[in-house]
Amino acid sequence: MTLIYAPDESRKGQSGFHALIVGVSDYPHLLGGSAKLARQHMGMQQLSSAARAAFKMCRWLVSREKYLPAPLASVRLLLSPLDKEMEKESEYSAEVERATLNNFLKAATEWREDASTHPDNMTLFYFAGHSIEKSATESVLLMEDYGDGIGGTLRNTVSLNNLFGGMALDNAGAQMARRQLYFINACQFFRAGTMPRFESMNATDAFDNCPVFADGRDAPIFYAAFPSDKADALDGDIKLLSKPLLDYLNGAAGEPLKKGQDVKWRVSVNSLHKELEPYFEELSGKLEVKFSYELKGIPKDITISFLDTPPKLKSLIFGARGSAAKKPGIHALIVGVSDYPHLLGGSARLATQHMGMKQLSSAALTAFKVYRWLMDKPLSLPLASVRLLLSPSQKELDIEKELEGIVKQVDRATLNNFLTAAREWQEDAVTDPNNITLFYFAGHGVQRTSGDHVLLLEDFGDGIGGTLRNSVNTQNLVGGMAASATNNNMARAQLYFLDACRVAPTVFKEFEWMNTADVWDVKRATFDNRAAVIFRASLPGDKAYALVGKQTVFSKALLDCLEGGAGKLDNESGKWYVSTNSLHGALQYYINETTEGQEAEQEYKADGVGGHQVVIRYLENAPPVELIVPVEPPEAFPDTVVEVFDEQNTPCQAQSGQNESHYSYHLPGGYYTVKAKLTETDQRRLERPQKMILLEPPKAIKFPVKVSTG
Amino acid sequence: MTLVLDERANLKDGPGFHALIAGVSAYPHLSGGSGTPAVDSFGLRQLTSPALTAHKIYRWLIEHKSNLPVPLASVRMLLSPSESEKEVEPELDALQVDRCTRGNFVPEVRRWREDAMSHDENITFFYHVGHGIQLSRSESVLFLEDFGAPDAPLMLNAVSVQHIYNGMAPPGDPQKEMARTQLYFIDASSLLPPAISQMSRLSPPDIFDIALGGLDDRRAPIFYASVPGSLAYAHSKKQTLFSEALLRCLNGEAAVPSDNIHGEVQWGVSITSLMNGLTKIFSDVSEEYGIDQRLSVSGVGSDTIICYLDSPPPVKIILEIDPPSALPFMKIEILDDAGVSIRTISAPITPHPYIFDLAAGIYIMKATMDPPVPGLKEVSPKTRLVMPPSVHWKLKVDAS
Repeated sequence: MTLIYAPDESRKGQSGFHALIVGVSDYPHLLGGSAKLARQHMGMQQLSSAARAAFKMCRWLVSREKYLPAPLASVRLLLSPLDKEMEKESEYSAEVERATLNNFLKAATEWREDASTHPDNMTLFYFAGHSIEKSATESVLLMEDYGDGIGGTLRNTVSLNNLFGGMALDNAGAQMARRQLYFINACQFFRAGTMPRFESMNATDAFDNCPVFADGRDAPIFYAAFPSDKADALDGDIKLLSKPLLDYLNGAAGEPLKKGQDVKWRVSVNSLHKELEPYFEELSGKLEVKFSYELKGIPKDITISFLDTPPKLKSLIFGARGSAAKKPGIHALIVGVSDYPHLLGGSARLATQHMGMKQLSSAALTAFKVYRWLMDKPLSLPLASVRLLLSPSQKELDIEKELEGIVKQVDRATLNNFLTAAREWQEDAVTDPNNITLFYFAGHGVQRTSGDHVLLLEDFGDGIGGTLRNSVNTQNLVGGMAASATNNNMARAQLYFLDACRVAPTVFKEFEWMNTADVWDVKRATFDNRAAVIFRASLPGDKAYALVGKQTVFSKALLDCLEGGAGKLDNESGKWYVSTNSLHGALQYYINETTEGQEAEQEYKADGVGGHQVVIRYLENAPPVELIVPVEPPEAFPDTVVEVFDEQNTPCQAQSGQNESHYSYHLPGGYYTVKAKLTETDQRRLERPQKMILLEPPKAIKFPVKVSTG
Repeated sequence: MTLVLDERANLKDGPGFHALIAGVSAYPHLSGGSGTPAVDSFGLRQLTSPALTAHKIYRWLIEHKSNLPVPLASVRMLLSPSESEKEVEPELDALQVDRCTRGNFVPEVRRWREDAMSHDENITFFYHVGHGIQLSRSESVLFLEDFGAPDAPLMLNAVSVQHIYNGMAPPGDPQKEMARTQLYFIDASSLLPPAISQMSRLSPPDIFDIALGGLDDRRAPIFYASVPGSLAYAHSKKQTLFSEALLRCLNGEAAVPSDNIHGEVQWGVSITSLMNGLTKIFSDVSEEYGIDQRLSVSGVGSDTIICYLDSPPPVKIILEIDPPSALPFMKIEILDDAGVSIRTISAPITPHPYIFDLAAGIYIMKATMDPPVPGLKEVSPKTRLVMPPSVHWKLKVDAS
């Protein structure tokens, strides 16, 4: 039995999804096989999981029947498992035909016939097993009976080029499926100078092919392989290739597909490729085996499968690991905790040492706003990755509908999730010394002693272990991000925004030991040439406040600064920028502005390593600045004409509704000339009839025009 | 004597500026010293410039006391000069200040703290120059003259920067006052000697009893001359690079314009501008000497001016014209912020780049070509804020 999923008779003539899946673990004529060893075995051996991988792909396809871009119409399966390989696959039936050459040729022919019944058909070809790199441009797939000694060495192999070419419109007819997917997971024998001259050996044709001139297919080939000479070390385990493929197909490579207001989630050729490429790069590094991965064929971005729910992406909500390492970028880790089940008002057992702390109303919203801002605004380096951990309150979810969608995708801000996200964030940070890292935490914070700052995670006070087990110490966090001999490529520009209180509850006076969880082991201090700037929302021993149900005071001030409120003019380039140093000048101004009229007083503090400036972003436009020109004394106002000109000498319009003492302007930052004059008959004189000024945010610039009687 | 300036009686309950300066060059128990060698000297030797450096800082404070935001009320100084420094600067001896041993340092720090507690609007100034190491990522330690004395724990005659800093935090009792602006300058290397990692715990003795952290609303930056794991350098028998950079900054190179109460521009050095200025000078100096010395700063909060300038500081202008083919015909006129022409540079502009000084401020540069040069456009006036220490002003003439 090859055809395990047959077309519904009622659907005859309609388009459908046709799959051919092949998995070969058992190669009798290769090393460790049950029959006579092939003369040209080339060191190849049995594979431990290729047939099972193919079976899992088959199961995936059937299970995703409802989510495929075309109705599932046929699935052909050929498996050559090892004796005990399929023991754990209860649905596996030994009646599935084996992946010999003859069976393959028959199945491939039937598959092509089905595929060529309707241009809206879609096909999938999956092969897991051995392959040989016959030439620089051609690989052949080895069937079970490879090396049986009958005919040429490559008789029981099929050329992928031949198979792919045979599925072209020119060869298969105008009704051939326009969307075709090919997945190869192979243990590949790579050519080398001392190896047989395969160019003169011929694989068996699956199809008769004529030259293809115009190929109108969308037909990507996802080709992943590890070298057969490393198969021993890898235990011949094709799962290394197939598992990530299935994980990504199951949603980890999900991406939103917007149609008007509707958002559908899908896995597409591009979204899958974006995940597989860095995955294999990273795997190569970890296992010290060169995994090869390539997207070839005709790689158009078509949908492979739809998803019923947004994918659970863990914390990584934007970016791709590994691929981002090719050039420096910004790597962000954002954490927002409003929901503390073990604090007052929480949903679980109250912590023994709750320290009077309650649920928060805007920490997760704050983290979300910071995330949105990062996604929306161009920064000084490309945004490479964003990790987000959120523990929102129900009220926040009610207030911000978009937050609800995001929350489904990311993990909650528990200690374990934080440690995992931090580790991955650190791994990304260490890909290039020119990277910039950004850490933002909004939630509860405390301090045990002077200079200390502890950040509390969602599961704080869960009763397991010490009180501060589910919290992290910022000294440990920052210390572990230093470069060292083993991670010399660590980002040298690091921004930390700790949007939390630093109150010192009296409970800390009662205990000799209260230790936080270590995010990592921190090496002894070595040369630390980072610019690691830590902006803390509160002074030691003080509180950080929030605009209930909106966002924290600190985050509002910070975003105001980043929007241009901390803009500075670079005289050399004429560009406006926001940097760590310009934040110093503006953050407190916007904090004060936000808390004006409130009872809360809040002051930020910055610490860190290294003093050099980090440019966070360049502004597209000059930031707005208010210019106030009072006339002194006010009695002279009616007789004084004030004009303001920009750098091009264009007059600027004063705000209407002037009061009787000053002129007011809202202008883009930059250079302006203020000119004042008195009526011709006026005997008084102006102290500064003309003055050039530079308008830079944050505060309104007050430039008095003084009229003297002398 | 440690108190080298005492104007406290003149404060009349008002705020004052209280400085504590310590410079240690002579370490009897380190290599080349006159005392019993330390059990472990971490390879450290005698120094040739800390006492001179401390003296220069002291002189600057005395000479610029009218530029400080509050009256200079007290200056305490502890010096352990080398013989060669005394030859260079006789005042090191003449001042007859106490040596920077633990016995002298601890009571002086405590007295300095008492002075700091006389008014919330006091400003304190702490400058320590000498040997230092990084005990951990978060703890810097400074060595006093008697570091390494025999028959005592290694760290007995050392002090922790973080301990002093924490000890200067505002008291928990809101009725008690404390200087809310505190400036710390740690002019020392921050190496972590390998021998340290072999010890289970090294801890300099406390100077203060410190309460558990309460509200700390100080403006209290710590400027470190080096980042963890690196050296701080000096001009032998002159001064440290850090102090040189600091004094250059305070003398105007880190000045920024600020509004005074009359709405007029007054130039001064703020915490943030000092940080920017030091970073820039460090970068230039590192390049000049082929070293890698970096500034590290912590404890920065809301900004404030820490010293004012009597007039806008001078700025070196490096004028460059592009393309050079315009030089023979280019005439430059510079207008100040009132639109008054203050300087004309006639054609041909030579030498090129053309270097001259301007007082910091906003200027307009007008460039004309007489006669017009075929293929080159007229240049529109350029405006810019000229800030110390130097400005590279490039004038690009576009092709027509």
